[in-house]
Amino acid sequence: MSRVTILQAALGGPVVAAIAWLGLVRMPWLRRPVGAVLALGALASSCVVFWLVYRGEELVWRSFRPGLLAATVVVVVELTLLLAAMRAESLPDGGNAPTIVGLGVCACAVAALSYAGSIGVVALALPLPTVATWGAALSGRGREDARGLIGLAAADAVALIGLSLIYARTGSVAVDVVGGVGPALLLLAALLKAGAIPGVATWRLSAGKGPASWLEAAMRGQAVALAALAALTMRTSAPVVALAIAAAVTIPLGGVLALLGGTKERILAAAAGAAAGLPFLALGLGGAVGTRAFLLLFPAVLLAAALVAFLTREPGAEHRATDRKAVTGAWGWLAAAAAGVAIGSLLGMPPGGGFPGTWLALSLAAARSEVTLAWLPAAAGAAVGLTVAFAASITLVRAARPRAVTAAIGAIMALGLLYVGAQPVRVGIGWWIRVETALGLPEVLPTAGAPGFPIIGGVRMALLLAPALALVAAVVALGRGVRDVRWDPTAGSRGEAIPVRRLRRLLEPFAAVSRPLTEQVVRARSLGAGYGLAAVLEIAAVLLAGRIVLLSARAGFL
Amino acid sequence: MAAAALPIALVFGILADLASGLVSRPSERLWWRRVTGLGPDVLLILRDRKGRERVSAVEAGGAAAAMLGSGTAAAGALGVGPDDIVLLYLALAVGSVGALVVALGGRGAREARARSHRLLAAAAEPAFAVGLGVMFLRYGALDLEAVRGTQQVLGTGLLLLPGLAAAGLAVAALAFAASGALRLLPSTARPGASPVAGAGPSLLVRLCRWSMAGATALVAGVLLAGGGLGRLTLEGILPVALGALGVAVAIGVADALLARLTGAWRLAAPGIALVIAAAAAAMVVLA
Repeated sequence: MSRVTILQAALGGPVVAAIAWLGLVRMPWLRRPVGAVLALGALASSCVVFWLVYRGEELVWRSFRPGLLAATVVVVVELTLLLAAMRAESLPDGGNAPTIVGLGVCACAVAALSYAGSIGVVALALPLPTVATWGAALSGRGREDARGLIGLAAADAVALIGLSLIYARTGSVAVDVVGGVGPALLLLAALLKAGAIPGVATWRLSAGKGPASWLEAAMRGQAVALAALAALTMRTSAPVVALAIAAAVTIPLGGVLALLGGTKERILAAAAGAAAGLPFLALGLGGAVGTRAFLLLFPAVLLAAALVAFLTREPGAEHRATDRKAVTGAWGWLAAAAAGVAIGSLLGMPPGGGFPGTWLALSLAAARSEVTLAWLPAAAGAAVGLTVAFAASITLVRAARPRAVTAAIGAIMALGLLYVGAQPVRVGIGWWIRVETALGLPEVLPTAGAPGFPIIGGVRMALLLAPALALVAAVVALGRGVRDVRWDPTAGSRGEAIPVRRLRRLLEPFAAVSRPLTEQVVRARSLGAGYGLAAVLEIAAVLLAGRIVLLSARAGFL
Repeated sequence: MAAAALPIALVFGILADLASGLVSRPSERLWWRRVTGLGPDVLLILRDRKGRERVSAVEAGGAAAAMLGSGTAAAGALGVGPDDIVLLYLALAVGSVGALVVALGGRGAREARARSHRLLAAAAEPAFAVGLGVMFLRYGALDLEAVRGTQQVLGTGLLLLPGLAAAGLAVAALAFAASGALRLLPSTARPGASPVAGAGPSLLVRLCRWSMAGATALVAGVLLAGGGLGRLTLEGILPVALGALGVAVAIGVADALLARLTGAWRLAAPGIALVIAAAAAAMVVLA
């Protein structure tokens, strides 16, 4: 197989897999294996592209020229979308077809956006995930999905304005270093698409239960690709104060909203939102250390968020009653443990996969605080926000699915995340140094005073874990086994915290009066105004993309 | 030596619980029951034929995570593990959240109590983080190794001039201990306060409380007095032991006082701790 074919397979493979799966609708015994083989083939192709680029080979097909960072983004995104597709397949009422095709389209769009060396291709690929989300949202019964679409369409428009500005400034279709507002707008769009800003765009999408909510992983992946593009075009060592402040505010806000979240989806959306803010805080803190923190954070955050959703979310509201059957049997315990590791990794807790990046970002914030005290609230706010989000979302471990395949996949990925968390240097040093060199960043050396990593290490971890496990094992042994528990993590007001319950009781009379009116307004908005506004924004974004494509076509962007 | 960190933290946690029992004496007739209550719990589990006193797998996992977090923080404090501020804070966070997993397994009133405790613990987080940050800020360092070095050269933290900075350090330690007490699970010895049912979960709650209180005391103790297990001499061990003992007693006293608070006063406690921590920050910065 030639190098170009491998690149083409990595680019277009996911959508081919989705179309094959869709085409075999009358042969259900065949569609799943064929879809799985093709999707795994696409993932394998993206891994080969990564490996070839890592070895220093240059892969070129038309204007696609993947760098090491882009190749990594594609591998991680395709893996997360594969996880989402595996669960979305059991969506009820035919919601699975537009969702899985949407996931395939999104994977291709993110790959094209990442690999592209031309602004024209980036503009062409940029609105595709939102359009795919439209398809999934319209197939769902609920109107909740429409709420996220407005923010996503706005994010597309903002990103395309940013691209236009970059194009206008450089006068070239090639993605190149440029300052000014363009990269800042790309970062703003990335913040929205990462779900870091509470209540809008991806945050709102992922808090819903409809088919479109399963495309949130694609949005987060696109956000990383956009942030990488912005970092490529920006290349400044100074802190981006506005971005750092925005990210530092969203992290504690996400933590608080996760604590107040009434449903599993809302808790997960808020916790993932808090975690999504951290890579942007790292970018905002600036310098080579900030970029390294971003590089370490994004794969862990994407994979861990996808893994938590894979293990704990139920496709469609109809299946929520099964939550009560959670955490029973060996597979249930394994899935719960994997979910615990994934939640810890998502929120950067030691020794999870997100810890090295979190440690680097918070250490950089603390180091900046020593020089300028104004950074102290950012550092403390981020640390506290992550902890509060962790405290809020840890209850999701009880919602882990006790299926053998799910638990086994979850356990393997959780072990991988733990390994990355305990041995970050062993896993990634070659990779991040090469990416930093390609980005033209100065070399970060411990002798220059930059932070190194706290070496937790396997042996020390075992020594720390041994007495804890011995004590717990003693308690379990005393009872001659463990108790079987059936418990609903999203139980109603009975298990609600007393202050929250009091607040709800106080507000109940007002809510009772305003509910019918509010419901009507919400329904009207979601039916008409919601979709209408989202459509206007998306059409504007598509027109803008068309203009950029036309302009760059004159320069022969393909 | 890293394996010894958790048992040492448990010892200081037990001392904190004894201090708490002593201060709560009017409401608890036998102040030592918080520690000796372990025996009846063990007997209950051993006599249990129907498995009602057992722990669930999730509770066991939560307790293991809590003790791993506490052990990591304690190892850092004792100088036998990574000891920078970010790792210490996040390890203590893992300890606190792991304990919450044990508490959140109940139903009905117990579950509501556990969720209220989670809100209170989350509200105490800012004071806890600021308290820890201010203690490090006093030394202008980001890890305990540098703090120990400063203390070896210049003297114990509390005696280090200027006076305003030393007072700021003490006030920050007070805010850290008070918010650390707010993060502890409610004691199972107090009737009507326990978030869990059954002797097994009660045992795990005790272990989580002790490990958390002990790890918090060790971290603050080193920041106040220095020392550690890096050098196994009396000069190395005595400062950390005395410092941790003082903070453990403070945590115990704060825990007992907080247990007496009800309603709005209880909800205001994290805010008061944050004000104290902010005052400490102002003192250290102004000095």
